Amino acid sequence: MELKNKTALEIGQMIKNKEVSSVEVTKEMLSNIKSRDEKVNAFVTVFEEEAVKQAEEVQAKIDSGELTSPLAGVPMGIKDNICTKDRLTTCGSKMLYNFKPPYNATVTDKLEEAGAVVLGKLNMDEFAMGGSTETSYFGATGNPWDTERVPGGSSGGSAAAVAAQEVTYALGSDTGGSIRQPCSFCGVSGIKPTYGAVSRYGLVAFASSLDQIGPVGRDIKDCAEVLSVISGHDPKDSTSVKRPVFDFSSCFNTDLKGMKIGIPTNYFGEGLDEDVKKPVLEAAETLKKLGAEIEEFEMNIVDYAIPTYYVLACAEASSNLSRYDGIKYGYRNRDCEDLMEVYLTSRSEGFGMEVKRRIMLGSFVLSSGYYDAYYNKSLKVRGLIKKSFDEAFEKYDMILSPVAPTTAYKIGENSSDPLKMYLGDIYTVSVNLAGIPAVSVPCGFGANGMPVGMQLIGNAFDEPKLVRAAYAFQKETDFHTKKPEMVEVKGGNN
Amino acid sequence: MTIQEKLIACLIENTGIELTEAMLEDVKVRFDMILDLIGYSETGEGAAAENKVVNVAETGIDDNLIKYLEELSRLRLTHEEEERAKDELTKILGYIDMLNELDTTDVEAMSHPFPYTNNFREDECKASTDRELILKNAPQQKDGCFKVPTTVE
Repeated sequence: MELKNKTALEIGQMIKNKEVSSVEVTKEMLSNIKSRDEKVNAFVTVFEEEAVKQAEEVQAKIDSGELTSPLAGVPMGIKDNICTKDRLTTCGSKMLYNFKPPYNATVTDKLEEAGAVVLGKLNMDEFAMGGSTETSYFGATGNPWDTERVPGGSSGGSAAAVAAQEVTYALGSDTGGSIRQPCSFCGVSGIKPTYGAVSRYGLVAFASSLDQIGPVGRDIKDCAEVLSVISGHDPKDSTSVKRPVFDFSSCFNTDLKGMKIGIPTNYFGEGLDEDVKKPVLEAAETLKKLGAEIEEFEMNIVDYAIPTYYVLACAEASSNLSRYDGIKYGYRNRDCEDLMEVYLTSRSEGFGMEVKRRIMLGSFVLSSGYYDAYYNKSLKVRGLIKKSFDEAFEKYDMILSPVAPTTAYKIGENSSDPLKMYLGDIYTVSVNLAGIPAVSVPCGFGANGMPVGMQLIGNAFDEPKLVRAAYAFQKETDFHTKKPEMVEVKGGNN
Repeated sequence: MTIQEKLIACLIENTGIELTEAMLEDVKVRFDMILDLIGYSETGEGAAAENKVVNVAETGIDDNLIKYLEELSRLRLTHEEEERAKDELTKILGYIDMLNELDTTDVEAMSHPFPYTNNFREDECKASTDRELILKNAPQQKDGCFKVPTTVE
């Protein structure tokens, strides 16, 4: 059995053809987890026995013809802020170290109905607040390409697990770049869907007007398939949009004739590493070769995206995280004499420093006297950012940009300077503020051997266009097929 | 338009009552009293807020403010954490101040990515999650309820 070069869809096909069983693939992945995850630490929880049992059940349903989804029987992983019924969902926090949700997130339900085998829950920055997966209560995740480096974040566990082939695909969540940036750092593909395209029911809330769940996979075709499974209206999420699920079937051709792609020049200015700039600009040439028309343009308003994002995301977080009171679920300090002490000690001991910092920043910008100057001001700038994207999409089908200003940095290198960490989100946060979709796909490597991704940003619900361009790019290039050494060497004798 | 005029316009629009000159004078006096009571300054609310921003940008987050934020956030920091947070939040707020370079006078505040209205559904009776299941995650429970320390003497 040779699985290391296979995508999730190919494995799904092999299961259908009875070349391999779901249980065999599941066991193979569990063995990869065993041999690699000590170094990578992509998983918070592995559902070892449950996954094998689930694979057996799914296989029976495939055999009986009950399950026909292209992903039936294929094992995968879920970011640990997405609820899995009766199975730990920690959000990377001591606050939820023992939380077993009494219900599934809608996306979990949809995937399991399509025959997904859930291998476990993937590591992340605490409450998805961070860009390096270093703030997890369960320890930092290492980048499979160099485990001394970060995998990015906050969906670092999802991207690392896919890169290390501990899972075939994964779910992540993206509030300010949390799917796209780790995909760039780990050399895998991912989609941040349009706000409202995927139900957020059962996603532990961070910033409700920005959060979206999305797929992480070996290539864009896998991601598109997963997105078509999890998208669609959900009555349990009042912000989910009433639209049919995505149909990507017409996206898989390699001709980009007639497609206009804009490149915002100010995304390529000061602060962008040459290591990233070069491959992204080369990717523009490749897209041109495939028939797309490339044009540079100015989009200066995005320079204000980071301050806007941090005001709004923290404001929403301070409100969302007020639910953690030590009473209903999660961590509680039991030696308290009165109710206020329960709140204060449980929250102070349950949250890590980055989460506390963001709650306090959020409380500040929402507090009387500062609300107008910070929160309201940011809402207005958010309007300006949306407007400038609207204008860009009058001229272009999509926008090409870097995902992050650098490749993956060393663990600990930036963690003592929160502001420096925040600046790493410069190319991604404006997409969440505008509620529009974007994909991140591998487009090269830096001088340090670490992967580099490019970002394609589209107008609301233009995911099919983005998938089409990314698919054509991946047909033409082989960056997404490259594997870290640990996969090449240890997985070589499967 | 002064704040009094705005309030009066709002009052007339919402109630539909026509005000006589005498009534208008009376209302103005009353609004003045209320504004005085809540410590409103005639420089306008935006200006008042902006003055405070300048203060924070200049003085940084001081001991009083960090204590206040801890109280609002229901968090208790150690002295060391407080010192670090003061420093970091001051730096972050200094960076955020760049938003003041933008003129947003006539821009509408955007709290949601898309125009969003209430999303109603039929009011049907349905079973909610079972109480037993919900209580499974409670750190402490008693008689089918969440248990907390004594709240009323």
